[in-house]
Amino acid sequence: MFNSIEEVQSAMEGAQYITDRPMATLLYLSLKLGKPILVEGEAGVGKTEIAKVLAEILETKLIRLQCYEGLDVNTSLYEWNYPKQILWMKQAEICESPQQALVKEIFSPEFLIQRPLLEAIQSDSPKPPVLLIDEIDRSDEEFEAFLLEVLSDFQITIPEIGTLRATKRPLVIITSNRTREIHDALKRRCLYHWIDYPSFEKEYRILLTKVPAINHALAQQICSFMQQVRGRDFFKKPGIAETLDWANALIHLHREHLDRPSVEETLGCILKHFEDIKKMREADLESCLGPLGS
Amino acid sequence: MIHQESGLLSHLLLFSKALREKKVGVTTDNVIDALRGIPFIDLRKKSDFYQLLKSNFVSKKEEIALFDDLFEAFWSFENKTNLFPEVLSPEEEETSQEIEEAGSPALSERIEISFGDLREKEPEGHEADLEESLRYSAEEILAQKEFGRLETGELEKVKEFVLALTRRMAIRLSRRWERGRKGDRLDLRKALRKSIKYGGEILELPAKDPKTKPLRLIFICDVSGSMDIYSQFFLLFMYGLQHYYAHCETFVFSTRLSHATIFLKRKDFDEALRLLSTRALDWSGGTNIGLSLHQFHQHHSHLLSPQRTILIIFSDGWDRGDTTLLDSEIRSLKKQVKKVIWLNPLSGSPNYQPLCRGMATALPYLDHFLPCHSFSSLKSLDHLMARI
Repeated sequence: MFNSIEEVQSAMEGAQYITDRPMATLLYLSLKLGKPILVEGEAGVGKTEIAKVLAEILETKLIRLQCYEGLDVNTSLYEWNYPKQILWMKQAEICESPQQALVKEIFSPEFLIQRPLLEAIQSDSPKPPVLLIDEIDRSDEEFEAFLLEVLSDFQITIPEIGTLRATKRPLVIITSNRTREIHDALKRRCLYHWIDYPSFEKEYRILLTKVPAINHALAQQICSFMQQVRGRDFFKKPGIAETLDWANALIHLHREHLDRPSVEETLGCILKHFEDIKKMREADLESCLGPLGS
Repeated sequence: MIHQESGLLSHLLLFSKALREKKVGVTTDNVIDALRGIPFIDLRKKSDFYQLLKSNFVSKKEEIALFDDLFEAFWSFENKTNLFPEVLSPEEEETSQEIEEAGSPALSERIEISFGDLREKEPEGHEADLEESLRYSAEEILAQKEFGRLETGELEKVKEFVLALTRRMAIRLSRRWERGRKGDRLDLRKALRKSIKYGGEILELPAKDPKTKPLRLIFICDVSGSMDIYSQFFLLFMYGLQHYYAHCETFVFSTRLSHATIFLKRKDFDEALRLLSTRALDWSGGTNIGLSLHQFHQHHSHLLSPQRTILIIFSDGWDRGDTTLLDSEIRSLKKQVKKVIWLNPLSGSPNYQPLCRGMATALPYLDHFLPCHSFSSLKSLDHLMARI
């Protein structure tokens, strides 16, 4: 475990996640206070990555719960393995084993299918796992209410077995793309952090770390181009994920610097909306390239 | 040790009170957590202290700017070093050393004690009730008022109501329905439960239906000149609903149709409106309902489903176009959707009769025909949706 904010920051950078002090402070506080983190931000700014890196530097397991509409208790927490129970009962009947013992048997943990939340609570590894609840804004409001219950005391009651309590509180990271607002009650349980698009310097460092094959001049051009694009009016502004994709694409195409044709060829890496691409081609490309284009 | 009387604790309480006055909802638990975090950060670093408070007190992006301003004003160390006497003055560095040495348990115990009293004293009931009742009666009066007659100050209030309504409505819409009797998949969970009464013999095979898919709402909104004031409110309503409920699509039309969903997905409503008026065609021009519905039918028929699509048209029905086209379009649309609802801002007036050509043509095909001129009429739409 870490003893200072600096240690967290350097460990994260060691795991190739370029971060700033506020983010490191947040993670450190979450570790010390045992509070979940709610990270919001535009798509592709590295929200999910935080959980992965955290699991890596803490050398622990990452348990991921991807949210979607209609996600319910059976798919997020636990479910009895009904076919197995039925088979077991049939077999017991043939062998004429005593009824009382049978009931106990079929409702034992052996017949329980663990879903991510239960897995996080039941984890018996020496270090607490990292639980990533990804894109919570996609789930229904009922699920949010249920999650609130689980996160407040990290215990789950299964009627047939009893109450299961987490021996070690998992580190919880919740991400949201803000397609809808998360309920206040859940937010108030968490440490909140908004990740913005990176500054030029930060993005440049990320690019050099993640795509070591890139030459520095191209990296600089890419980053300043991205800063320009994000300052304009597009439906979907590109995140860091797009920058990295684009850099890789340019390397594979053996481009040494940015110019109009190479940007036009690879626009699909950064803009994912037909209207945006059209607007870029027709109006913004020259000015985004600026002095680079000539 | 931190002194409750003079130091950090009281200032933190004042700070959280100031935040609450600015409508940033800081709870007592948030304050306690912030205090619990203090032993782990370096109090001499303002940025760490800032991050500690921010992550605990802020819970929306919109609150960040507000928090930043207040933080600067409240904790500006240059002007008010006395806020932090035991921590900030260099002579007293020893004190902060002491804090570190004292460690967290002692500190948190003290905080716990002082907050123990605080929790009990907090006047939760009365103020909240009073506020609620004031809010309620104000809402009642404003709700009846026609959108066109609202004054500048009232506009903002009604906008808030509209957004709150969309949230409630979205919750209702996304609720799932009960399991049906028919179906093609076995419900093993139920089968096992039922088998118990036959001594473990599975005699009944309960089936389960796939989960009912949520309703899809399609709004087609008239933005022609005669609708100006009303359509803004209706767009706000759709903006809010789209924010909370994923299954709706918005189109706007005057002489032609354009797809507005993506514009309304913007975080800020005014920006969405600006984009919509610059990029959507013919904003506040003439009206051609028939042609617009025809375009909708042609390009977006994949959105239609007789089981789950509700088509909601918002228009006054003043149509310059061809009514035979309107007639044929609305007739065939009617067959492809679950319900057709027409909202008309003019029908709020007591002596309104749907006589104008467009309205008279469409009327026979409608499932519901509702007024839509004030907040309370938007509410009745919510009630109607609950029954569908």
